[in-house]
Amino acid sequence: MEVDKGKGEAEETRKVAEADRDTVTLKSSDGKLFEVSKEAAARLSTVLAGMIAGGSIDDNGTDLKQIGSEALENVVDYCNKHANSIPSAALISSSISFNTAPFKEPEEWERKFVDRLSHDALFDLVEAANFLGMERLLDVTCHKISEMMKGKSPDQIREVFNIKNDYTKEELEEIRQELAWAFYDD
Amino acid sequence: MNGGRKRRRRNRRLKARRGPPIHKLGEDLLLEIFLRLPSLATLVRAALTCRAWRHAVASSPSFRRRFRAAHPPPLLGLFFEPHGPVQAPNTPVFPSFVPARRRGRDLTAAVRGGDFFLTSLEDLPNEGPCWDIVDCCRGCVLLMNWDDESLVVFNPLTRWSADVFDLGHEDMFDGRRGHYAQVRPRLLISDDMLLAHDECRIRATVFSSDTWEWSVLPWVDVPASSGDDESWLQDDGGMQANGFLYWVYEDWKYLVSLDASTMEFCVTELPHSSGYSSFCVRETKDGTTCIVLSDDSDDLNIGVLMPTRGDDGVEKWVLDQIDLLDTELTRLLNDLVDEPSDLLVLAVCDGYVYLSTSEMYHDPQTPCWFLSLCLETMTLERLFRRTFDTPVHPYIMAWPPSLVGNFGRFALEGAPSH
Repeated sequence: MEVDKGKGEAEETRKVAEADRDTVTLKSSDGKLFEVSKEAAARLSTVLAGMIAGGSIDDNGTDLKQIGSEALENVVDYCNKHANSIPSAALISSSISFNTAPFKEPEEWERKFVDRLSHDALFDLVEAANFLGMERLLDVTCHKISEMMKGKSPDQIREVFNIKNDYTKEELEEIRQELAWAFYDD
Repeated sequence: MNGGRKRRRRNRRLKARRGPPIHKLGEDLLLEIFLRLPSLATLVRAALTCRAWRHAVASSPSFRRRFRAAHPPPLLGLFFEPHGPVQAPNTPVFPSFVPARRRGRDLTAAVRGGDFFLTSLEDLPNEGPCWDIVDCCRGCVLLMNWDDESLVVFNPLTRWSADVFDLGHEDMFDGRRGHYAQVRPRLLISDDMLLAHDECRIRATVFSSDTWEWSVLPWVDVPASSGDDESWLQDDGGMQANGFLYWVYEDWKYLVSLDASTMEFCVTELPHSSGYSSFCVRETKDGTTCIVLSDDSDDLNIGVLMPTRGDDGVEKWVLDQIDLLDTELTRLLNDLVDEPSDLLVLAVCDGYVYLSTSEMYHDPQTPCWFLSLCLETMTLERLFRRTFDTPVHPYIMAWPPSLVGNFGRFALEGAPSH
């Protein structure tokens, strides 16, 4: 009984100490540690918000086994940049016309942020954003990939993403009969 | 040096086995990306890239619902009916198509790759080059040859046309009373239908593409029209929504609907009005049926009627909203139009209304604006400017069968290969 109480108190003090800190430490699958503002993490990631509220954040680095160090670095980088950016007028006004544009256009800095990423890094970041419940980051990264598909024939899209055409000759013929227009290169 | 080359070779082998990096994203994330593509035309081209991507779209009705809800209908342009084909027999006549401009490169590619000049019709054997467009539905147009009294269904995007069949059926007017007439043929999902009326009854005739025969359905009594006009049913516009076809009385008192699945008629009363000028029934984005209308008053109004069940259990159409478009229209058209005095509803589809700033035949010499209006947000968009001298049919791209299910060669396809 006594011991249990003592343990509970220790837990309590640890939690209080943690609550006082304004950053959280995240640990990638390959063991690298990253610090991120607690406020930004809780605001941008539903998963991290839940962990912070539930007290399951580890002082020595919360294990995120599904996320590699490069993707986690980008996540943290995004959180920090987001914390420093002031929401632009465009973002506020676009949230009003939500019905016609269900996805908010990325802001200038968000565009630049994803533009510098390699394909590999971009896809890893999509997965990380999805895993951490980061709606806005998922939006921005998916939007970037969708931009890469726009205005292209299937051949041109294959080239961009290095995809093999795995349709059989017969299948291709069937599709071409139905959708010949889609195959013309612009 | 040697080791480096070996490592590179191993990396290359590993990469080849894993496939391209984008394939590591699961189907859910791929569909999240697809959801952000600007139009159905872009989605079609992306989904045709590889088997796994086509399969992801074709196997997920919920994705397709979300995609539809998040995008405006893929309007490719408007078909204009030809000028009086009846008056000039044996003169080549075809509907003309005007593409909606600046709607994205993929929608443009669809227009460029399809046969919107309808040149394929000239390949039909034994048919005179004299075609009128009478209906447009699910990516297909129903064309009527006035000279030969025949009909054909044509898909301009796939360049596919069904066999030509004869218009109407001699039994159609059997048992008629008094004055009788036939209204324009209409395109059902897979069949075509004709509606005939006499003084106070209507009857449908359906052409089945399965049996290649017309079937004549019984006469149905309907409320008498107040006017003394012999043609008491309005004969324009392609009003079709949620599997129902609609016709309005000339006196605007009643709306006739036909359930295409049961072929049962239903007549509902319309709310009293001093005068409507144009009128369309179509489904909204969330799938309910609404009526969109503009009236004769001096203001630029668009009203929306929704079906409501009254205390007596009878379904009625009730005015749901009226929007004054004056300020919005002025903002949009700026000083392009001196005084947009009329606003005509041409068609409603998927929550969007297509409008013109002048009535048909009002001033065939002066071009007017053709516009689209989103019913949800009440935002207007310009399509193009043109003279409005014949009735129009908006052409909206349909979802291709290869993206809405696993048919044909894909019928036996199980799990995606990636």
